[in-house]
Amino acid sequence: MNGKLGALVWMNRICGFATQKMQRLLAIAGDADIRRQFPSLYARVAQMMGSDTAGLMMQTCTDEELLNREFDLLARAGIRTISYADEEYPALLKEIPLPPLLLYCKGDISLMQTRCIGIVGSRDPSRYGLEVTELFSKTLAKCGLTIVSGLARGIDSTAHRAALEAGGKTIAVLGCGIDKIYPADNAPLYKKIEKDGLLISEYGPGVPASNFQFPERNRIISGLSEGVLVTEAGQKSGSLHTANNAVDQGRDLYVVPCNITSSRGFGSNMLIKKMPHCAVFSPDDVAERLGIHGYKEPVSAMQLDFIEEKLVAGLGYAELNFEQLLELTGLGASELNATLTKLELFGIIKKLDNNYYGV
Amino acid sequence: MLAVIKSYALEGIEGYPVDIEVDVQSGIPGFDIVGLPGSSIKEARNRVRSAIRNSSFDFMPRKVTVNLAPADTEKNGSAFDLPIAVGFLAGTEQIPDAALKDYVIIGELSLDGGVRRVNGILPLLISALMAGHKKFIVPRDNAKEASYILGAEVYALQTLSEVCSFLGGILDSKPVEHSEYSSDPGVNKYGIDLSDVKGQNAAKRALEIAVAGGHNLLMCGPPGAGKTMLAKCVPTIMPDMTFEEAIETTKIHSVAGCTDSEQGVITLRPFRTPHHTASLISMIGGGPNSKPGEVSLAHNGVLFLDEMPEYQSKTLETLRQPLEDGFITVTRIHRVIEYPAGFMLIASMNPCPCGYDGSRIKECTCTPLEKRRYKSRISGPLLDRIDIYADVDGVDYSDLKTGIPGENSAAVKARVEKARRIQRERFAGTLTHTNARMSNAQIKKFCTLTPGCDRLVEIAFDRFKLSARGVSRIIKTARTIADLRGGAEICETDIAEAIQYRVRETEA
Repeated sequence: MNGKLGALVWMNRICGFATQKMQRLLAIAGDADIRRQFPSLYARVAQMMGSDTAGLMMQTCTDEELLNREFDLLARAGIRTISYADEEYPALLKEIPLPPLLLYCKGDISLMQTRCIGIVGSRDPSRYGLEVTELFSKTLAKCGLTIVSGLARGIDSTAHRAALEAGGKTIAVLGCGIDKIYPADNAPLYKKIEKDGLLISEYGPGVPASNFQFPERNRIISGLSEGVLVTEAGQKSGSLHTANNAVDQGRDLYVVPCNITSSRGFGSNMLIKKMPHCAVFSPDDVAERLGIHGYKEPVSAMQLDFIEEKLVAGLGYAELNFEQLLELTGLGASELNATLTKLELFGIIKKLDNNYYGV
Repeated sequence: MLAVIKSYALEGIEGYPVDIEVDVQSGIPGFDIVGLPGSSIKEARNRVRSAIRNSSFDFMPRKVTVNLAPADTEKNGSAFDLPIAVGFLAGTEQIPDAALKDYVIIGELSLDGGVRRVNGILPLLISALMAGHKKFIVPRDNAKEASYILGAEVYALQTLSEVCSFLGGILDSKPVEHSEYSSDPGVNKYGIDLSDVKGQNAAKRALEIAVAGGHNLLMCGPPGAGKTMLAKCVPTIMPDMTFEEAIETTKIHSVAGCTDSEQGVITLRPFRTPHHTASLISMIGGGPNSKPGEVSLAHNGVLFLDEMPEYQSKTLETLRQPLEDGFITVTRIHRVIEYPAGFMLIASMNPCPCGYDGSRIKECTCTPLEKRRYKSRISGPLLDRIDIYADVDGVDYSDLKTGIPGENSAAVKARVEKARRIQRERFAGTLTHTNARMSNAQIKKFCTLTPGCDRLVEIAFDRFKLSARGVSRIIKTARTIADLRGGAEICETDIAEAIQYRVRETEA
């Protein structure tokens, strides 16, 4: 088994060390294969981590059978492991402070070599936040960017879903073990990403979700991406953490302005206040800053009649509810319903909550 | 001496004959009732004794045995008081027994000798009439209800002494005059009209379609938007009850003891609004006396579940059988009873627990988990039985104040009746009455789609990720829309409109 990978899986899966500890151990070992050379390193490790831990490591360091069983287990679960030394390991991620040494992956690992953009935001977004997320995620995915997010509720899930719906690619970075679905109601999305995208995690199978892992996960989201887009963040949103990471890691930060009267967008607006150049007003803004061509929706080939034109024009101005549309078009409830369906079917308008319609 | 009186007892909403045999012998005085009497019948002896004495008859100290035949079915209720008292008086030869065999006697006694109203007169008399009985003695307070039965000679009397004089041929009472059923077409007696609801044209149209095709309807909107008011208008646009429907409905209400002695039969379509804390039994029926539940009381009318997700999920799931079959089977230890339950379901719900998800006026304060839990309380199978989904939005104050009154109920009702007539002709000779209950074979037969419609359905199927059942619901609704229009074929606009009313699946 590959020396480096074997050593990492041994430390992570069998000894139970997280990235930071693994890095310290690797620093002690230097160029040597830590597993094979462990007896000679024992004294220094015992000094650093105590003799109990070092003793455990001593017992398992040459146990090939144990290690092979671990690799078998991972292979059977369809989990790929990638170490920081592998060529599949994304170059961008290596630049961040404390990069993950070992990544557990499910899905298409070549996506890590593509150009990525992180889209993050609140877990409890407003309708506006969801709409913005959908717009940006869809458009940027169509531009050929891979959408990276954290498979959380709200903005994250919407970003993933929109990217897949647009036929684009997406990477979900999990804050729990690679085989755990958290939150559980995202199970259908998890399966879809496994099939059409990529799931990665710093944590091996079986690791439950816990609070401190999510901020750690956030550094990978920004680390993988050329830029991070915050579509809507509240005052204490975890996505602010990702935004800070992005800035620390030297990534671009894009923030969509939010409604100033709603507490749901407070965090986003504060970011803009601090860093006004971050503000973006359309997916094209983001594309332009990343130096790619914006995506133009092909103009609908459908011929609209007079009333339909009027309706679409009216909705382009503001979202309207059914009563207002009745007034605008002068149609009866029955004809208006039929017209709305037609426009909805061709993707020109869409129905929102509470009988409101929008383009 | 032995006297036999004919009476009737209730089993579900049907009556069955009970012979009341009263045997009076000399011996140690006593008064026994046998033949599985329930506790209200066991207590009859005290009422009978007082009523007889207070009617200035003699309650002689004799050995009295009362048998309720058939002796192996459990009997309940107070309707045997009067026949037992009459039997005793005949058995003690205080009144002649010659006329007794001609009459079916039903009634409760009060201690002063008065005859009180009983529940279920209508079903009892109908069953007795079908079994060949012609003459009936019933309480005066039940006269109106009994008067609708054609061919029955009903004597409605007020006291025990009146009954005895009548049977003895001393009192010459006239039978109750037959009442003609009239539902006063054209008069709105519900105290509410569709024109009272301002704005809400989308929801009004959805109501019209739902009623025209008998489709179940779910309304979703913020609190105070007018969902309940809209639902209350539904009976005003439903076709008038036919005599058969009125009798069916009255039978159920009569058994449940909620008819009105002034009115006799129920002419208004029932509008039942069980509270969301309603127990399973009160909803589907049952209990010690196997009474009909809300689903049966709503027969031929509307069952309105306000704030549907607040109901216990078990209670909601029991609605599946009646929604599918139009009746409910109540199984208890002693009996299995089938009650009719052909109602139209109208349900309302908020978009989330706080009610303001997606609202333009107020910010929603619910967490995503709360929202998901709220929506998941209505199960998929139940949602499958709902054809039409309507969003109801809050109304602007300006609309409230100056809003032009919309159509009134009578105009909508006229269209609904026309559409129902078309459906009656279409389904003549089958068990189906409305488009909503079409079987798959019937959909194939009556809902041929033009290539244009087919294409529309196909696009919608892909775009909105519809299920096969979702498609058949759309086609059924489109059939009703076409009927409202008076069109023989379903056209593209019908399908397009029906697609707007599809149940929008909540996102995972």
